[in-house]
Amino acid sequence: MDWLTFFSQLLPFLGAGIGFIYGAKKLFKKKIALYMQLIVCALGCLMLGRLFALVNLVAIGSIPRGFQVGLLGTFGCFLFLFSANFGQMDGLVDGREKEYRKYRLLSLLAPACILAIYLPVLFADCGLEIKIVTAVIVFPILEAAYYNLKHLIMPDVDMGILDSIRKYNFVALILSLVCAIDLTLSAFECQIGLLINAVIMAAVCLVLVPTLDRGAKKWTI
Amino acid sequence: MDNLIYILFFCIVAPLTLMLFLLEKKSRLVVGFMIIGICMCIFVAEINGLLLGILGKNIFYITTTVTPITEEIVKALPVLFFAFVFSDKRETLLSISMAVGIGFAILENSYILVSNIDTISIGWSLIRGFGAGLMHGICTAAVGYGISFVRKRKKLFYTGTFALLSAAIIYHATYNCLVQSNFKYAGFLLPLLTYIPIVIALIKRRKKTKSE
Repeated sequence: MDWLTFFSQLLPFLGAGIGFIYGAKKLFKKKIALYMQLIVCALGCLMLGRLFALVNLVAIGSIPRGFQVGLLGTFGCFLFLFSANFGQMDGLVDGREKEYRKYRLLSLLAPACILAIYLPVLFADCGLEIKIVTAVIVFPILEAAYYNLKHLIMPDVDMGILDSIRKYNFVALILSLVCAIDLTLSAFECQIGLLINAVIMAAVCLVLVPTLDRGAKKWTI
Repeated sequence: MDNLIYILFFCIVAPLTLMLFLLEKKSRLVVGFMIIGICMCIFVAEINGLLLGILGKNIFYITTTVTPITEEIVKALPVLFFAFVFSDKRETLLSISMAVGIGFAILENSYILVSNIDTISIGWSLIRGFGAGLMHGICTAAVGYGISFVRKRKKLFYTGTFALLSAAIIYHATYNCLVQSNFKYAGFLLPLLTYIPIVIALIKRRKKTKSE
């Protein structure tokens, strides 16, 4: 078993796992906002994806190259993050007014940045299957990052809903960047880079739910 | 015996179907969806057989990468249909989706039992009975929860259901991977470790609501 790969899967698993358990405990203790429930599910999904990779490593000694179910963890995680911002929050904070157009356009910087991180994969010598799979996975990351940046920079007009979760949006934006970097480094099989990235990902996952929880205490949706 | 799965199917489904006419509305719905789960199992068995031939990969790859995807999608279809056509009430959807999963597991377990009759043991039956039964139930119930948003919050439904489906697929694949490895008993524990905390938390919450 490759120990570098093992730890680069174990650290995000632990980070996301602790974040998920923290959120799930809150969820069962009292009724929390649906927005926060979705973020907790996102971490759960990320944790499951890494768990699958770890189980593969322990059971057969390697993670299959190309498509493997564990990659759906990242895919599902960002679908949850996107659902939370697009389905729950965006309707409340953006009424499609003309004066906010500049913020909407400026928010495109986040997906552009993630695309820039991802683009080298298309020119990597990693096979067509990996290119297609990572292209599919990067799609919800782009969408989630767009809304995270948008909710980070948009002015707050209604009852401080956005102000209270700006820190969370910043952390979630970093998670998007880190996951995009993870996809790129995986395609290039850069083990040291993956391990360093895994440390950052674990730290980001650890602080994601507590940051949101501190902000969400001020409102209920 | 080529038609073993169909023989098992008729043996299990026939008495359950006959019982349907005697049941009350709520129980009939649950047992009905259990039968649908059994039908879905036979449908998926054919699809998986086809994919096994087409992809030409080994059984381990198929059971940890392909079958979780096909099985979770097929199990979600009757729940989705029910939510669209009849009711999107969360409690109903959760119980019928759990029933689909359990029904699915009944036929799957019976088939594996009969096909490997010489090698199975009590340990095997515990793993399959508690593990696979619960795992299928939990996975379908999770997707059913997402489907409950079908009419109330369409924006959440599309992305949320796909996200829950992804989570269910990974969970299923992890279970399949564990039970085929040297860590069979960890596979048995995985669904129990998920199910028990949820049940305890729900009971506690119910008690709290009652006392309030």
